[in-house]
Amino acid sequence: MIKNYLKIAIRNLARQKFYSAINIFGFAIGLSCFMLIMLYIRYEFSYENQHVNRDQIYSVNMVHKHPNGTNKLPSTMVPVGPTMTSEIPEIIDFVRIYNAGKTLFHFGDIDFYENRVLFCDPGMFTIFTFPLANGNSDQLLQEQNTVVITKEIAEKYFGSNNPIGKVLYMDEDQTPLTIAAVIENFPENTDLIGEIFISFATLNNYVSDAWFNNWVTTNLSTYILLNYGANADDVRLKMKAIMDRNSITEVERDFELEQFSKIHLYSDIQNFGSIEILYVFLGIGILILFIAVINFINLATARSLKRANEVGIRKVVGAGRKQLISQFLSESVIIAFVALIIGFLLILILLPTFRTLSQQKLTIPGIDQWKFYLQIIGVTLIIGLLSGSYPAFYLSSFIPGSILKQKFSSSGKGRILRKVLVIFQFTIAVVMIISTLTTKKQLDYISNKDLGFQKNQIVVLPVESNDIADKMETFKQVLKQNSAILNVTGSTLLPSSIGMYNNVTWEGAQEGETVPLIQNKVDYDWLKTFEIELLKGRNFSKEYSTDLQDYRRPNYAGAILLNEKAVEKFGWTDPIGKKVIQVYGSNKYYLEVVGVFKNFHFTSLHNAIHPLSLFYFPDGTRNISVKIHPANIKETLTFIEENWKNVFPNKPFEYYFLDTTFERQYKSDRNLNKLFSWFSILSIVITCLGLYGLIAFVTEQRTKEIGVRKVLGASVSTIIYLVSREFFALVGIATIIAWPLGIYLMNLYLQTFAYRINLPIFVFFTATVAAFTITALTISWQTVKAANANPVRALKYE
Amino acid sequence: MSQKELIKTVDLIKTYRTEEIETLAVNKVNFTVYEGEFVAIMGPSGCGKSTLLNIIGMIDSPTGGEYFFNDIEISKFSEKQRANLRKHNIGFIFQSFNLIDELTVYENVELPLIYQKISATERKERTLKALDQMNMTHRKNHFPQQLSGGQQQRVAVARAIVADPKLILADEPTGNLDSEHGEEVMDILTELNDKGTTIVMVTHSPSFADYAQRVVHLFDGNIVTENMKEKFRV
Repeated sequence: MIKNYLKIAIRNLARQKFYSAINIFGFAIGLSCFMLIMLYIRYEFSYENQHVNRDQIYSVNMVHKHPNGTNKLPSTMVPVGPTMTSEIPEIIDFVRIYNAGKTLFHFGDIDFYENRVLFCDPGMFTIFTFPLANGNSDQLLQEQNTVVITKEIAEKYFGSNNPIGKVLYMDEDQTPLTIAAVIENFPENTDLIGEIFISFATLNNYVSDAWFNNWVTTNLSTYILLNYGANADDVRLKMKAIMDRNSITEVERDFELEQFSKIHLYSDIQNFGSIEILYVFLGIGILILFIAVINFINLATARSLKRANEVGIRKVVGAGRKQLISQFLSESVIIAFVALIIGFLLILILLPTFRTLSQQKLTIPGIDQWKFYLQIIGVTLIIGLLSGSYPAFYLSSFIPGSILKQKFSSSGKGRILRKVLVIFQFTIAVVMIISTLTTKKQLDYISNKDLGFQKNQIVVLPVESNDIADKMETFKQVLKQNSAILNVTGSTLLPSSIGMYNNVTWEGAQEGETVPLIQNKVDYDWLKTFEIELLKGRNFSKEYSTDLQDYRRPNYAGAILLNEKAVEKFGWTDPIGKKVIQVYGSNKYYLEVVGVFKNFHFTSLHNAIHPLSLFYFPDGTRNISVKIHPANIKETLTFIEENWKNVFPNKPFEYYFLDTTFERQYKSDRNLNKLFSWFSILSIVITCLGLYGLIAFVTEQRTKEIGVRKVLGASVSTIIYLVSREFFALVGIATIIAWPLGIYLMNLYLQTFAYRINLPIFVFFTATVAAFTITALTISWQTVKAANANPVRALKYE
Repeated sequence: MSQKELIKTVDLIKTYRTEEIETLAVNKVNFTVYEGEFVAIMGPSGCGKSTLLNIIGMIDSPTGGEYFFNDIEISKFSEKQRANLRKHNIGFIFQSFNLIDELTVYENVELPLIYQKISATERKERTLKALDQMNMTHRKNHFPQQLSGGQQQRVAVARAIVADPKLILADEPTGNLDSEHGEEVMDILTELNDKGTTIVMVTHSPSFADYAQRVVHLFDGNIVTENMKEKFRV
C-alpha cells in the first residue's frame, strides 16, 4: 500500500512540475530559515554548557532598595564569598572574580596589554569546568603570585616552550606571577571570559586588609556552588542575615541568587542574550513555515477539481476514506522531505552570511548532535502532515457518484478558505515590511541623533595605569604646539560610555533619600574638547585649588559639575553653591556644585539620560581624547605617536576614533534589523510563489470564460481587471488588518528605546504600495498572457 | 421462479436540493434484480438512470425508501460500511473509463485488490489473469493515455472483474466507443454473465440493450415499463 502511495505521489510530482516546484521551493526556503533559526537558538542555549555544575552555580547579585526604586548589581562586597561559604552548609564553594581591566604584562622583551585579566579564588577551577592543557589541576591559585593562563596567552609569551613554572611580570611594578597551569582557550559560547587568572591572594600586594573586610563597597563578582537540591531562596535569606549582622547601611540591601546556566538568556541585570529575541525569531521561523504550508493548502484545494476524479475512482474500486487520507498525507510528507533536502543545501550556501549577521560561530551540527536532526525531521513531518491534512480530509470527503458524473465543482467552502489564507499571508508580509522599515528608521534616527557632544575627529588614546599623571600636562602642551590639534583632555571615561555611579544624597533631600549619581573624573579641558555647553556657574579652574576631588577634607571634598537632569532630580532652582553628599559607611563627603552643563547622551539611546556629575581629578585619567583638524589626519596621527613615544617611552601607543565606537553600540540592533529584513524578504518570496501558483490556476480554470468574453468584445484590460481584481481586494483586506497590528507591534518595539521616532505613517503607505506592487508583478505575467491569448484556442480548450 | 434476489429496492427515493428547488431524481422505485441476471436500464437523459445505478452501486445514498443488497438493508449504512460492502461485491464500468492517469494498466487493474488487502503474490496472479481475459497483458506497462478508447475500456472491465464481484454495474460502457469496440465490450459482458456474474447496465442504445435479458425503462424517476425478453420468459 505504502509503495502504491509513494509511486503515485512521485508520479504526481513529476507530472505537475510547476505546482510541485512552487510547493517544494516554498517549503525549502521555509525550512532553511527555520533551520538557521534553530541553529541560532541552539547556540544561544549552549552558553555555559561546558560547566558541569552550571545548574548548581549561582551568581550573587546585590539588590539596593532606595526610596526611588531598586538597583541591582552583578557584584558583591569582598568578604561575601568566604564568609557565606564558611557559615552556610548548603554552600560548597565560592569564587570571587575581580576584574583587573587592561593590564600590562612582560616576559623577557615581550610586552603586551591584556584585556581579560582576572584575580580569582581557587574556586574558579573547582566550581567551573575548564579543561586543562598543561600542568596539574590540584591546588590551583592557592598561593599568592601564581597564575593560570590560556593556551593562546601561553603561545603569545612563551611560543612552543613549556610555560609551567616560568614567571610572567605584571605592571610597571613587575609583580612576579608563576605559571601554575595552562587551560584550553575559551569556547565562543560563554559569557565568563578570561585569559589570565591570577590568584586572589596576589591582591595582598595591592590592597590593605581593610579592603578584604569591607562589607559596604560592592566591587567584584561572586559565584557560589550550592549543594544538589539546596533551595536558593533559603540560602539567600541566610546570606542576608549574615550580611546584616556584619554591617548595616542606610540603604536597604539584599542578595539575589541568579542561576549561572540562566544568566545568558534570562538575566535582567547583565545584558548578554535575550530570550525575547529568541521567541521573536522562533515566531518568525514558524510564520515563514506557515506561509509555505498555506501555499500548499491553497494550491491543493484549488486543484482539487483535477484530483476529484481520481478520488472517485479509488472510492469506487474500494478505497476507504482512511486510505485516501493516508495517500494524500504521504504525498505532502514526501514533498516536505524533498524540500528538506533542498533546504539543507540552501543552508550550506546561506550559513556564512547568517554567521556574520548573527555574530555567532554557527556550524552545521555533527551527526552526534542527532537531536537537532530529529527535531528538524519532526518539524518537516509536522509541516508535511499539516499541509496535507486539509486537502486530504477535503478531497477524501468527495462523494464518488457526483464526481464521476462530473457534476462536481470546487466548493464554496474551499474558495473562502483559500481567500482567508491568502489574506493571512499578505497580512504577515505587510507587517514584516512595516517592521523592517520602522526598525531601520529608528536605527537611522539613533545614528544621526545629536548626542549633545562632539564625537567626530576625536582620537582616543587609552592609558591603562595611573602613573602618567605627572607627565600628562607635558604631553598636552607638546601636542598643542601643532595647529592641527585643536584640544586635548584627560578623563576616566569617555562621554559615550559613562556608567560608574555612587548613591548620593543632597542638600534638601529627605532623610534616607538617595539617588544613584553617575560620575566621571575629568580635567579642565573636558567640556571644551567635547563641546558640551556650560549653562550655569563655571568650569573647573586652576584658580580654585579646592576644585580637586580629595576625600581627606570631608567638608569640602571638591567641586562638582552636574547635568540638568541631576539638578532636576535634586529639585534645585538655584544649584550653584549647593552641596551633594557622598556617603561611604559612616563617613560623609560634601561636594560643592560649581556649574551646570547641558544634558547629553552618555549611554546608548535605549536608555534615558540619568543624573551625571563631573569631578576634577586628572590623576584618574584612563583616556586621553585629542580633538584634531579634519585635514591631514594621517600626519597628525604620526605626530601624536611620535610625541607619545617621547613622553611615555615604555607605553605601547594605541588609538581609535571615538565615532567608531558609536556604531558598535548599535551593532546588535543593526544586525537584528538586517536579519529581520532577510526574513521579511524570504516570507514575501514564499507568499509570491503561492500567489503565482494560484493565479496560474485561476487563469487556466477561466480560459474558456476569458475566450468567450473576448469573442463577445471584452478588451485585454477588462480581462486583466477581471482576473486580478479579486487578488487586489484580498491584498487590500490584508493591509487593513496589517496596519493596526503593525502599529501595535512597532509601539512595543519602540518602547525599548528611551529616544525614539514617532511611528512614521509613510512606512505604512510604503508597505501597502509595496504589497500591491509585488502582487501586480507576481500576477501580471499570467493575467496578461491569459488576456492576450487567442480566443479561438481558448474555446477549443475544453 | 425461485431465484435469489440480489438487489431489491422498496419505494426508493432520491432528491437533490439546491437553495431554490428540489429535484426528484428517483421517485418511489421498486426494482429487483436476481442473481445471475443481465438487466439494462434505458431512458432519456436526466431520467434518473445513473442516479439509480449509483445508489445500487452504493456510491450514493438514497433519500428515502429501502435498499436490500443480498437481503441486507443498507440504505442507512454509513459511508464506511457501504465502502466495505462495495469493495467485496461490486465492480464498476464507466462510459469515460475512469482510469487513473498516473497509474499503469497493471496498477489500475491491481488497485481494487490492494484496497482489499490481498497479498502481493495473489494480487499479481489475479491481475495478470484479468488482463489476460481482456487480452491486455501486452499493454500492462502502458499508461492509460497511451491506449485507444476500446483498449481503455477493456482495462476498465479487467479492473471491474479482478476482484471477482457478484455484481457488475456498467454506466453506458459503450458510450465513448465506436460500434465495433462497443460490440466487443458487450460480448465481454455477456460472457461474464454466462459465467454467473450479475450485470446491471445503463445504456441509450436499444441494440446494446438487446444483449440484456430484461430492459427497464425509466422516465422522470419512475419505472414505466419492464420488458422480459421472450427467450428468457419462464
